[in-house]
Amino acid sequence: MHKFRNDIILISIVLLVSVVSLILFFTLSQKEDLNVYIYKDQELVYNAPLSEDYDLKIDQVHIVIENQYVYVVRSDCKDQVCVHQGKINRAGQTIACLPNKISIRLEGKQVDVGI
Amino acid sequence: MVRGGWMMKKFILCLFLLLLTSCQSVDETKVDTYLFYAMDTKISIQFYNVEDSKEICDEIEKIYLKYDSVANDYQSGLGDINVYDLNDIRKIKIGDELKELIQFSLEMKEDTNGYFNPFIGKLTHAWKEALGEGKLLSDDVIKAYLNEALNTTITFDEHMVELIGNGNLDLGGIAKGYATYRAEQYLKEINCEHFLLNAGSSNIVLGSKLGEPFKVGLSQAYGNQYFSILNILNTCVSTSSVKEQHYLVDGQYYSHIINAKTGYPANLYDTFSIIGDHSGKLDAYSTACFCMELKDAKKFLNEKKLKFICSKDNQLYDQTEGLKHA
Repeated sequence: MHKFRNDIILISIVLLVSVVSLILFFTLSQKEDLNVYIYKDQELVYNAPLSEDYDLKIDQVHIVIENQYVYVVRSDCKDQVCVHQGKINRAGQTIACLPNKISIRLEGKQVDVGI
Repeated sequence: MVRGGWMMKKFILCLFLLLLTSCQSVDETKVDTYLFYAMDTKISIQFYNVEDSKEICDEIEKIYLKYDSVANDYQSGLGDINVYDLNDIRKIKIGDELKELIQFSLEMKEDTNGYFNPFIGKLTHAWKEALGEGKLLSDDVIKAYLNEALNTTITFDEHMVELIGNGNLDLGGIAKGYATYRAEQYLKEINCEHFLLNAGSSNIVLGSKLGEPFKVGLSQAYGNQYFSILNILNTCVSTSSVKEQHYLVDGQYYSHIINAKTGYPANLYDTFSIIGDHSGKLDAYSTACFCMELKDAKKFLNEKKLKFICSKDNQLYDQTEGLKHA
């Protein structure tokens, strides 16, 4: 009887740990970890998590990564499309400055491509 | 009894270990991303476990650059006789790519019952200039340009072509889609299946992500959210949208897409996406549907057995039943 009770306790502990592990695994794997990729021409010049604040200038294009957003603050291009695109924070979103051939892309699990 | 209990313990221990080991995510996918610039667009390609991906990308870049060169209607002297030259000289000998592109545009004009019209070049240029300066075109100017477009045709004598009438050719509505179709054909020829080709968001071709569908986010035109996310593979999507291509005049937004029937900027939708095969046709159809009333667009697409999804006021407006969403 005593042995049987120990078995029940062992089974319960093992099952509990298993279930908690699975819940943790699936919760963490669903969490959106976004990465910022910045290209100049065809070359990758920056790649880091969106959570890391950063400030960089490529040619005359000023890019800011802060508070889980990335955006172009200033650019010398004529049309200013890159500046007007505003802040992005979702997987698949991009900002492109065509005159300067600079491309910013957010990569994550929720979306492969934004159109 | 003792033996049964011991077996049970071993079984549970194995189950426990199995569950723990299954939590380890194994991802050995090799993703190669490339991008280049053509047709005033950033074009990106992602390959999944594909050998020689750089060489494939180089071939695709050549295709886009070729059609970029021949379809240009703003600048001459890009190495090939192009649309600008034809509009300027009116009768000229052209190369294979431009010839097939013009013939395809005529086919699309017929197919869309004139909702796509390649001869509205003067009208599209005039609207672009006016809207860029914060102005609108007058009704008289629109009517004059529209009449010119409707009374223009083109003749072929082998590679010698002649524009008959005063309208100017504008292949901007299909050139990128057609180049994407050629790229898509090339990828099929070499049996490349696991890729995502994104030609400036307006034309995308999807293979599969190693057998899995892609999650395609459909962007709001006036916001930074997705109004829907589709789960699709082995297909093409062409989108006409006012996103980043609209002008604010006297407090009202105007689209860069000109309705070839009325001569005015189309304003029925924020975005109109069509899903199916053949990027070239989809490009022309999305431009045409962007200018049609919804019931007409649905009838048109239903006849062609194509799926669609459109948005208005930053929200999903209508879609084909059964589209798979993420």
